Amino acid sequence: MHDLVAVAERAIGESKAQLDNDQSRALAAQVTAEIVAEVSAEASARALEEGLQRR
Amino acid sequence: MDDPALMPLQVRDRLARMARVDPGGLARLFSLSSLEGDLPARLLHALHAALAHRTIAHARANVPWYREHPEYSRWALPEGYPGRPSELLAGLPVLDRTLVAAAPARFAAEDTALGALGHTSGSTGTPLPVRRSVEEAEFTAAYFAHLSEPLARGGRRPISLNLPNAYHGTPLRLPAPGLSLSSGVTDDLLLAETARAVTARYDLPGYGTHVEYLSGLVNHVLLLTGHLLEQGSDPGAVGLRGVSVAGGTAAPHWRRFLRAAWGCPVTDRFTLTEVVGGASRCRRCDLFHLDPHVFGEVLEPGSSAPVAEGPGRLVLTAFHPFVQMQPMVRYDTGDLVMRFDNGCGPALAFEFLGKHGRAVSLEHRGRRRWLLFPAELNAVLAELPDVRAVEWASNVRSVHDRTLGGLPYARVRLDASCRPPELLVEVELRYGPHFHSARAEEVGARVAGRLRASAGTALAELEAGGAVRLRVACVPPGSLPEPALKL
Repeated sequence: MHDLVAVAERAIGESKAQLDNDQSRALAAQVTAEIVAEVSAEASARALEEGLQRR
Repeated sequence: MDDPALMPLQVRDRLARMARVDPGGLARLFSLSSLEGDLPARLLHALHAALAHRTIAHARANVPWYREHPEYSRWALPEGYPGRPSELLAGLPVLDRTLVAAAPARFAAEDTALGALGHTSGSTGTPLPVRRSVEEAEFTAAYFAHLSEPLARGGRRPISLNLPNAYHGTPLRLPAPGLSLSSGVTDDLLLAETARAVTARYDLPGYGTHVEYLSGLVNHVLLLTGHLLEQGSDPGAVGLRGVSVAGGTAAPHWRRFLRAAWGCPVTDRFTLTEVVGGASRCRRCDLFHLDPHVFGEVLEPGSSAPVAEGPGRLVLTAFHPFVQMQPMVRYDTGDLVMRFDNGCGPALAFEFLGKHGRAVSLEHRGRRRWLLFPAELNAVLAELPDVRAVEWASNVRSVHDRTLGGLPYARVRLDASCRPPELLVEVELRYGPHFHSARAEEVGARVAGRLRASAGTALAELEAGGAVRLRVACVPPGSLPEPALKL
């Protein structure tokens, strides 16, 4: 899968940094996640835990 | 591979046949496909084709209904060339809710473990049970976590407030990009807590100091906004970065109101329980764009002919591995949409017109001609404070206007026994129209004008030709039955 991603990135000529900095795309992702999921308290707790672990 | 133009086909063929799809890799590919340009657009089509292959292969091997229908066995990716998006699933049966609801067990995959049972709201008929597997919940959680990763960078993760939708059974658990607070508006205690949560300041290491995103059903978000204003609070002072609404039709008037009240962009979501995903209204063209991981078609009502531009029924396919336990291949959503080929991105662009069964059409000279779309009627009625709306939050005593977000009282009938046939639109006012007759006439004229100008209908043309007559009648409060829950 990673090879395939690299193939697509090379062909499109898009760097990872450029894509990741696009806040609108991140917002779209957030919107999708929030609305589709109707995020439960359990998921929030898990996200919080993961966030704390990352730091 | 040196030639970038060959990339989409290579991605399609390798992704279609790899043993396991990595959610992070797929999120990355879909992000690349959402960039501007021809190559990303072709990548999107390649991803759809590859996932269609995986979806159909899985369904015909593991799901009784698909196994018993030979059309799915015959389906194959075109060898050596990408094919056209409109041809991807052509020839496969189109499913509808009645078919699935009649025998839901035949649509359940045998290779997955039941993780959650959801259902459609039942607002337009018998609720359809929606089975979700443990495996698909894990995949979608990982996929959305990767998609929202950039939002967690920069040392400060956002706090969001979600007003959960309790109308669809067990929620699908997905990770929030930051800290997701959960509250509601459907009783006084909940609403007070929500008002406190959205206006509070927080001191949580690693997180923002206030709620930055608000999401929920459109009527819930409207009620909360109205409540804050009634209490003298300025929603704009909260400092939200985004509001997203779903679960109903957000008329343009209410989208503008929310944008002005909160001082931030409003994302209007089109979603349905049967498919994980949906569409978001684009900030550039103001139309809905399908989420990249969902495949959409617009077909002629009554046939499977594709519609390139104009009104048609929206047919969606949920791809494996996003949906695994109850695959929906070419599922007729029951919704009419207006398809646009406006060049704004590669995703299917459309405007929601309302439920197919609630739109009004007339057979004229052997052709179906549309006369009225429910969403257009709702859009004009939402602009008119004279029109009575459903007091959907009648038990929430701390709110003075409990109609915010409620659908307007209106009834539409086509009387074919008249010559010419009469399209009667009854609109219930908050007052007796005889007490303010000039104003009632203005309301009627405005509604009629908008309906005649409604894109995609032939009302004005047929009226001019004497083939139909429109009459808008304003009626006193209490005259009409409660409107349906959805347009």
